Amino acid sequence: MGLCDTLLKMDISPNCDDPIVNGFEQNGVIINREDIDLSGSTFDAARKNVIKTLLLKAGKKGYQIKVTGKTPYTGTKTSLVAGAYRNSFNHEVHIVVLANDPDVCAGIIDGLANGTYVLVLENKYKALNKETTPGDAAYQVYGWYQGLSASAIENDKYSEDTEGGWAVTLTETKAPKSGLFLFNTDYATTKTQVGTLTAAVGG
Amino acid sequence: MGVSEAINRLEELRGASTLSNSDKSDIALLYGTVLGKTFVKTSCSDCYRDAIIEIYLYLKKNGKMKEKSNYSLKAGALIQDSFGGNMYTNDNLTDEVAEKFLASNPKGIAFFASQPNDWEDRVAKRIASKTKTLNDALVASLVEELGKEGATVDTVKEAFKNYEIDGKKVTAKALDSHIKAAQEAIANKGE
Repeated sequence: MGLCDTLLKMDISPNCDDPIVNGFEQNGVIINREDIDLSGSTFDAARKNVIKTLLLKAGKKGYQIKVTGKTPYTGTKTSLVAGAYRNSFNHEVHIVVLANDPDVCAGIIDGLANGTYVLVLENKYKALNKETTPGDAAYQVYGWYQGLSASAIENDKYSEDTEGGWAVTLTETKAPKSGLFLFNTDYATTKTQVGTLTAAVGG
Repeated sequence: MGVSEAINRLEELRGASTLSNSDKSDIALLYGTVLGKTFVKTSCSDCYRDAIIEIYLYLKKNGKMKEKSNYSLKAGALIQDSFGGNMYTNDNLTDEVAEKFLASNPKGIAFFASQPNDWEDRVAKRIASKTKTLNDALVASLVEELGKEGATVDTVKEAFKNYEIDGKKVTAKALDSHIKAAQEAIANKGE
């Protein structure tokens, strides 16, 4: 049995050379959790908060998600959950679907209401000036452990924000890790890899 | 459909102010023929026009249809020929790249969505053909040279740069692969 390490491993201080910035880029990838090839996906050998290859099952693909505006995915947050023997984290992701028609309801909203998902979002802060593994903060993965499922879906016809579209909150409860990142070799390689998640399946 | 015929049709489509159903079906067909991928219509209003640009740029850049590989990668998979080296996705994957990758990473078959039934034989043949091109005498000499005190890859390269095989001077690339084989032999001996 492994010994769970709960000790600090580095100094707590801001990085003045590469200061953190808030928020996400507009584009992300959403994946049906059951389409993920869990046995083929690999973690970094040394850093267990880093997924090296997020692999989908043969013939499956992820879907692009784009939330426009200056603060896309606003409200997305991670919170500690106190447990009797171990603490964990809730991850909450807010997305907006600026559309509403029969196809959108059938193809997106009804699915989001009942499925479980994994979301890959690109942080604005990418840690590109780190000495080792620059770019490893760019892509963050939500829903890996428990899956993200809808905790709120709302269509407010007179909303100033969604303008009659849909506001969706996806939540992963009791995830064991505070953050999980997707990183392979460098930022450019990882970006290409993320691009393959939504590429058309070869035919 | 040939490349020039495809380019002519794409130029017509680029100039069209509206796309008819027949135009759209041609675009989907060209997408599959040229890029080897299935066209997926999304809710994006410009997806057909984006596809025209994607196909057109591919043909202009490569001057040929995409070579159909017998291998395809699962979504999320990417292979590299070395750390930080060339990246291969389904867009540029060839049989040679896939088989070279599998020769050094047989467990990497988990990254492939499809592969020929005889992929293991194909990989074995590729390894055999690579081994056959190595000159045993040169590898043996390199093993000896690399084993000498103070020898480095650079000094050995310099010493063997004029080495001849069957009366022909060995190329730098061939010398590199022989040195690599010699290093592997030394490593194997040490285990």
